[in-house]
Amino acid sequence: MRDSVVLYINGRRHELKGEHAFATLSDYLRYERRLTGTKVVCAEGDCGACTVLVGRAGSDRPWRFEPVNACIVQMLQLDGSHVLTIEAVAQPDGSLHEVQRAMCENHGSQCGFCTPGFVMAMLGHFEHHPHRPADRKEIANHLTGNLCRCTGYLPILDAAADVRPERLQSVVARLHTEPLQRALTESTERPLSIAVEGRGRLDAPTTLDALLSLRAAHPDARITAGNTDLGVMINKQKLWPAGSSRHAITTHKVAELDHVTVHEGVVTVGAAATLGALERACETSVPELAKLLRVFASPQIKATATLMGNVANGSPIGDTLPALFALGAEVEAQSLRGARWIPIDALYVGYRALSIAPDEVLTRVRFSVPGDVAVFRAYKVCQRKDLDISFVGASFYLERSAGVVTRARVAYGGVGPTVMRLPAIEARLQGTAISDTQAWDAIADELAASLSPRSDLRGSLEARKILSANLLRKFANELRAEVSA
Amino acid sequence: MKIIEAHKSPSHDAAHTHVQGLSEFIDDRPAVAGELHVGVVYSPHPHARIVGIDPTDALAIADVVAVFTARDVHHNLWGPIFQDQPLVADTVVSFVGEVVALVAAETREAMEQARRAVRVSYEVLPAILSIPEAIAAQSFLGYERFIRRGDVDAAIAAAPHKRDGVVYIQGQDHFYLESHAAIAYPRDGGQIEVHASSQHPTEVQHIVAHGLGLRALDVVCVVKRMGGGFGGKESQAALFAFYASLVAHKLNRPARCVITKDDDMIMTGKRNPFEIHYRVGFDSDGALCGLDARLFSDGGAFADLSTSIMERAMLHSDNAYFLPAASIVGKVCKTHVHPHTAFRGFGGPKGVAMIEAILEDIAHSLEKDPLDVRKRNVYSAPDRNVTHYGQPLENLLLPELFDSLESRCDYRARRASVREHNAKGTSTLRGLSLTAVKFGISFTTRFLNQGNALVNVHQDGTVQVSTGATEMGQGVNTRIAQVVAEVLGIAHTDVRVMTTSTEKNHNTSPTAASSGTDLNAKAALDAVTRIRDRLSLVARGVLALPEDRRPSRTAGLGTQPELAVPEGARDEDIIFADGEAYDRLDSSKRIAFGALCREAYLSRVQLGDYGFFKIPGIHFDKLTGQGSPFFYFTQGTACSEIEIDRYTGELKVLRVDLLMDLGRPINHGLDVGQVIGAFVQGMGWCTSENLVYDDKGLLLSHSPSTYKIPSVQDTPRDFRIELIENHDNLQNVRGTKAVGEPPLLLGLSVWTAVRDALYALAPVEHTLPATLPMTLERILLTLDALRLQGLAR
Ligand SMILES: Cc1cc2nc3c(=O)[nH]c(=O)nc-3n(C[C@H](O)[C@H](O)[C@H](O)COP(=O)(O)OP(=O)(O)OC[C@H]3O[C@@H](n4cnc5c(N)ncnc54)[C@H](O)[C@@H]3O)c2cc1C
Ligand code: FES
Ligand code: FES
Repeated sequence: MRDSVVLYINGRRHELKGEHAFATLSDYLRYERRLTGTKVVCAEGDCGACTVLVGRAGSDRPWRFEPVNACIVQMLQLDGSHVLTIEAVAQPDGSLHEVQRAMCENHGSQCGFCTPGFVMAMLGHFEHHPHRPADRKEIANHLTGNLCRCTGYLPILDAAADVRPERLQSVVARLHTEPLQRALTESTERPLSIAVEGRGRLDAPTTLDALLSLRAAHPDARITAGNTDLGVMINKQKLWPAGSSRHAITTHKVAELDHVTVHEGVVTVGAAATLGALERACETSVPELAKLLRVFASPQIKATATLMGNVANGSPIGDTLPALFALGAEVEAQSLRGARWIPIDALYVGYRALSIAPDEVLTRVRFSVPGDVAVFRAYKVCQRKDLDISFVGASFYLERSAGVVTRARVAYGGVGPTVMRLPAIEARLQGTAISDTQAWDAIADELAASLSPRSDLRGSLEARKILSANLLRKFANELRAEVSA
Repeated sequence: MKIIEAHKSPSHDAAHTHVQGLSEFIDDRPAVAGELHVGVVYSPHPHARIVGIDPTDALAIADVVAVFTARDVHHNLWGPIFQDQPLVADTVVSFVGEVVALVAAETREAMEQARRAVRVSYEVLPAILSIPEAIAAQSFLGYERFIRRGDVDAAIAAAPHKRDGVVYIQGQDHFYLESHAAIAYPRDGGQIEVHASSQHPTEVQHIVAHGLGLRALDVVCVVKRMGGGFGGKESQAALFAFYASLVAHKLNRPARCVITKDDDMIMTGKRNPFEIHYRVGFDSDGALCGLDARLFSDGGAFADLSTSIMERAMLHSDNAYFLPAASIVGKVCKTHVHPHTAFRGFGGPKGVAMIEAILEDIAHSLEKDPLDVRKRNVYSAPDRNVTHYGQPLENLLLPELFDSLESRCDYRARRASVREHNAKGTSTLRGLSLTAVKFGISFTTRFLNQGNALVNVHQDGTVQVSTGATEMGQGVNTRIAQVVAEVLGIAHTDVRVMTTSTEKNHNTSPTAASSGTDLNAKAALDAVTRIRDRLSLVARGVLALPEDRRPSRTAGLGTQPELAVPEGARDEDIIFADGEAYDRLDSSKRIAFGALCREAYLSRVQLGDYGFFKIPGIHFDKLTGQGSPFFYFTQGTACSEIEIDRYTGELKVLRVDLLMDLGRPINHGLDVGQVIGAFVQGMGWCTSENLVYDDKGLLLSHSPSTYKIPSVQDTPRDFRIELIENHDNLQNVRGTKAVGEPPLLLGLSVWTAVRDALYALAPVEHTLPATLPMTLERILLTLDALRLQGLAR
């Protein structure tokens, strides 16, 4: 067993023992290493000022460096990673990196507080696409996780467009060498367990068996995957507040859980697989899901957050849930006692309450790729299109024949204590002609009447009802447009 | 109108370190030995009596050093205009987030724990949480203010058409990325050196001194830079600087007070919400006959700057349009929410929102294109060019800005295609709107319109400038450096504008009201011009001497008489350019600027100077509401086209064209940056930024997960910014015009474009509610109401 977190930062090895292993990355960088270029604004993953690049290997993929929010990632989760911060970006001779030059010359920085985060996010893009100029839309998609209050963004987009591929220097290539990678991999092969009196305990098992044993022995410990939900709760003193003790067990080193496969029309997603990996994997097989994931959080969040975290978190506004409900997904729960598959609509028994036993760990999600006769559509409506939590989410799965609905699964989020299927509406849709505008309109009104959402700071119940009905209308309208096209 | 060609201009003077993460902000300062963390304990109630504060549990936590309360404050009232706000609440709390105690701890962890462990007991009192409640309770701050022209009742009575209505305007959080932060260091003999993220170091100095029972000479406030300010750090930064200073002073240890974003948003005031009740009369062309408007703002619990903000709202109720008769009355409501404060545009955006909404409504009721109604009302020479407060408009460009943008953005054709699109009844609705801004430049309080600057020229020919301006990203330092460099004929990189400190510049005004460059560059210009004049005489003298008799060869030995440089004189034939000084009449006579400075030093010629500037010729009588408060006006127009999803209410800004008059910009790139940034910020206020409070006055949307400023995807898809050439703004420094605030008001074109789109569904007799912002939810509810009322055309 190891008793220190091992990672590299800007090409140098760091071993964190005891107390230090309990920090967030941004605190460690800023207050223990004086790497203050990484800024903290929100401490909740919503602004990107703390963006760093994190490189790590996955069981089914090579090393990948991706932007991550340093404010919510815990040192524990970085065991085995290589972190690159803004301080490593300029050339060793002091000259600016091409991304930095472009940001300077295009006035991409005013007050400068968001700037390191933007540089890191942009660098993340160019590390993956070094040979061509940035496409404006693509770069904007890549920067949705970074807020700037000064520039109005246009100068930042101009800067990205001004980056000349021929002048790009890879920071990863400079700092992430073969020997470094080998040393890092070797020193983090063994499982990790750190216990500190008064602070608590951290575990990073490397096999599913070990994970299940830990779970069975410590039913009060918290499983952490990407930590994007948990990290916010910790920072806001809602979980493990200052002065308390914690026990976290991370799944990120369990290779058996780190996979996304599409095999014979079934997509299977392991509990440690990130949403980013899922988005890439679905691009061709379930494009509608990839499209939904494009407006899920930000690239930074998706680089660590897992699908299973979204499922286990069980939020009524969890964005993937209506889609998984409509796709008829199943979730696997495992314990030392064995494994079982739970239909996702049977998983939730109340507001964020799951029907799993204290010794069970959620291990996989699976669903079928919608077939040719099927239509699958996922909508997410929020105040701001990107990096926002849903106001209402709705997903529809239909099978049809000769212009008539033969089977329907309809799932809504944001309108009740859990995400829910609407069986009455599904029954009404069955047999309805797609072209029958009046029928759809009436069903939409029934749908609104059947819901009893609550008002909260994201919107009123009236608006939620209207929106719920309108999403069905919108879906019907799009279906008709497709048919007539 | 001629457009200034886009060209490369010097980058922000800190861009190079910003992009490397090497620029130092408050919390980036290394902790020094013994430094303490200061945490705030604040009220969870909007209005309550403090029954008791028990620090026992907090003090029992390891590493907690002290807990302070109002009893530890020497002079406990402050305020930028009226001294009505306690630094630490004493007997009563008046808003959620008002500080009741401070904790000091060795570690951040212990500080966080201690904040929650201080036991405060309250007796909850009834609270006023909105403008209507305040009006009902007659709860106001300051006195009623008015601006009047003519007999407005008669004008409206005689007008062929009349309307009345209410405009509801919500607040806006500044959302500077760097939340409030300060570090105080105790210095010898009870002095305090406080580093603050503040737009107003002089006020920090004064408040820290008063609060601690010190004198101004005991306190230095240093401001290196801010991670954004936008007005939010004009007055309210002083509180946090004071908290750090109190702990540093009491415990004689350095103290750091860094506030989280959530606490910052809960505790500090925002853009004032407004509710405006109006009556208006107009003719069949849509020309205004009279406007009677009563403006109510929510000032929050204390006066802060709200009365001045109200004044600016009243002064901008005309915006670009001539009001033949007007009565504008303003009252600031006292409520139990955080004291609202300056925000880019001050009151301006509220007055402008009102008049632009009114014109939009008038156009709809007359079935006219809103642009025609606006053009019908725009100020114009010779007899429709005096504002309702009596200031004549010189250098008036508005009519031309309207015409020029109309044709540049192809308004008429796009209007037709928007109409056509909406008639097709697809799933989207489009809206188009062209609005204007005329923003008065100067503080409306005359005495604030002064600035001072210290310019030190060194023997190597490099220059350090210090002013009262604070740098928050707007590039004031870069502009000042450019102006100074231009006078000396050296590169702007040979001039550095130094950290702002009250030790070097005294009695400074806040960096606000877009005035930073106007006041401070002009003061620096005053100083550097005198230095340049002296250097011209040195150059004349030195160039006349053979090399070996120059001071650089002889001063050490004292073999030559010293050069005579009479004060106040200048040799006009000596030209300063390209890092050299030379004789215009004999250009072979030249000397490098650095060498010249060395000769000057050796000749005992003063190489530093101190400059002062006050804006001439402005006056405004606040009691009569008449005068010429503004030095000049920054003007512009914007046209926004938007698209709404009829099912979801989702909004896209498809295209924005901006046309601005910024005089002769010192730095084109920085100015354009201000225009874009301000526009997007204004757009955010009008659309997605929604402050939601609970029924106890607690702000619920207190972090970016719930408070949505525009993201990169919200930037207009097609965004065109042009500046017109204008060489006539001679009164201001280098013929430039202030840019910080005015473009924010053009963001309102997105708001009016949304209303334009919704009006496409409403019959002529229907008036849409005028509510700002138009969030997705409001758009959705409006669409639904139009559908259900069968109003959709
Ligand atoms: C800035 C930001 C933006 C966000 N945007 C969105 C969004 O657009 N849409 C959305 O739906 N969500 C969003 N979220 C929420 C969050 O990112 C998602 O819920 C994410 O999928 C959680 O995954 P994670 O791996 O980070 O979970 P974690 O935070 O690690 O865990 C979440 C919960 O799941 C439990 N858990 C994790 N793995 C297991 C397991 N294997 N077995 C049992 N329990 C487990 C944990 O104990 C915890 O209770 C956002 C969060 C942030 C910070
Ligand atoms: S600080 Fe805002 S995302 Fe990390
Ligand atoms: S430059 Fe100030 S927030 Fe982006």
